[in-house]
Amino acid sequence: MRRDGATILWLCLLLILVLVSLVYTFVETVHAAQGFQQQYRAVRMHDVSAIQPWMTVHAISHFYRVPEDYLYKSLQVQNSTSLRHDTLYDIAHRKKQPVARVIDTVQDAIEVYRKTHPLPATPTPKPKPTPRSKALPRLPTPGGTNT
Amino acid sequence: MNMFFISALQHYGYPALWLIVFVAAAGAPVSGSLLLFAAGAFAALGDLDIFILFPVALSAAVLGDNLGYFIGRRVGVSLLARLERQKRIRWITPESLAQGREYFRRRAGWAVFITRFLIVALGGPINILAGLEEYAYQKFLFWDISGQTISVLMSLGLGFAFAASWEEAASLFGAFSSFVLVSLVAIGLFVFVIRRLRSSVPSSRGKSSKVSAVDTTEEIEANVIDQQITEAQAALDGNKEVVLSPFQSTMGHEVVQMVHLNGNADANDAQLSPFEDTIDDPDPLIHL
Repeated sequence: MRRDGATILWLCLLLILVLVSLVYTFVETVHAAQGFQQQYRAVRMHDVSAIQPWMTVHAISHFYRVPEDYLYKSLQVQNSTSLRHDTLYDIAHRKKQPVARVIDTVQDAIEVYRKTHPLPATPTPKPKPTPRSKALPRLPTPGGTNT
Repeated sequence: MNMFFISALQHYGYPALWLIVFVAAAGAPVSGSLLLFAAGAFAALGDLDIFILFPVALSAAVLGDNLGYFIGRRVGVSLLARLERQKRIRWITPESLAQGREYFRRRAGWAVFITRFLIVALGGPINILAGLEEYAYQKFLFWDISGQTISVLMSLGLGFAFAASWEEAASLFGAFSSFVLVSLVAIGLFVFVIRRLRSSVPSSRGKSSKVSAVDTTEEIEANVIDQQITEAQAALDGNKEVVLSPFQSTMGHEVVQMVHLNGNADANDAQLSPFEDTIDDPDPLIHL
């Protein structure tokens, strides 16, 4: 009987531990979701803070609409086919610089390029009329005639 | 570590992907799914072809899983037998091992399937366990290919769709996977605790019923003894030989002497059991 009680006590402690882990993993999942949302939004807004060490110059050029040659020039690296697959991490390694510094250089270069070549403004989408709004009777406008 | 693999993927393409995914699926502590997310993103940028990526990744993952399965089958069986023989680990008893094996056999297909794409961290151990348990190879292959198809499609697809944010998408997927794993553990443990609590209640009830059962046994014994006494008296009336012997009750203490009757003997020839020294009384039943 006493042994049973001890076993149940241990099981309850284990259950509490698992529940704490559950809360922790839930919080981690929420944080990961928020991080994903922020990064996704930053990339869509062409925010330079979204540049990551895994990105190649080709990828940055694609996401931020900046010419590759310009980026290579600003990084002081010669544009060649062998460098096309180099990530910022590889470039930093080759230049014996910290990755953060290389990323800063790229961010500055993009900001400078934007000043002279601003991105085309995206048109705001017009709200589509819903079937319910179509069904509503038209109200008489002040001073106007309702036919 | 991850940056090294991503660089390898960028520079060496499909062979690098195949090798890394194969090693990861075989059970090495390498995140194969993270690399698939990256491969999907690079495919979106035009560096790799998504239609070539899919068969390459699927074949690597399935072959890696098979390697894990055969390692478990070749090495694990003998290792487990040694463990069972030597009993080096105190809490691994043959009973618990048998129980675990039976439990796994019943759910092996489901375990193989779900650990391919949802609880990826357990994929390697499950392959080895399936081999160790000699789970049917055809079934293993079927569940493995089914699960890996979903896994590869999902990872490459999400990487392709969220190209610039693939790292965050992979991190979200990993966190969600951990959450699902811990949730399953919590549910399992909760059910186990509830069952344990329920089983402990009837056991205490069982104890009280055991006491009443003992009481009933004593009553039955008393009835039998009464009957034997009556029979003994009847035998003595008919001049039969009476032998007395000790009778142990179920409660463990001497309750009464049992009466054995040997037919057609004189009452004066009555024999005594060893604990009886003499018969002074002509009527042995008086000793009862």
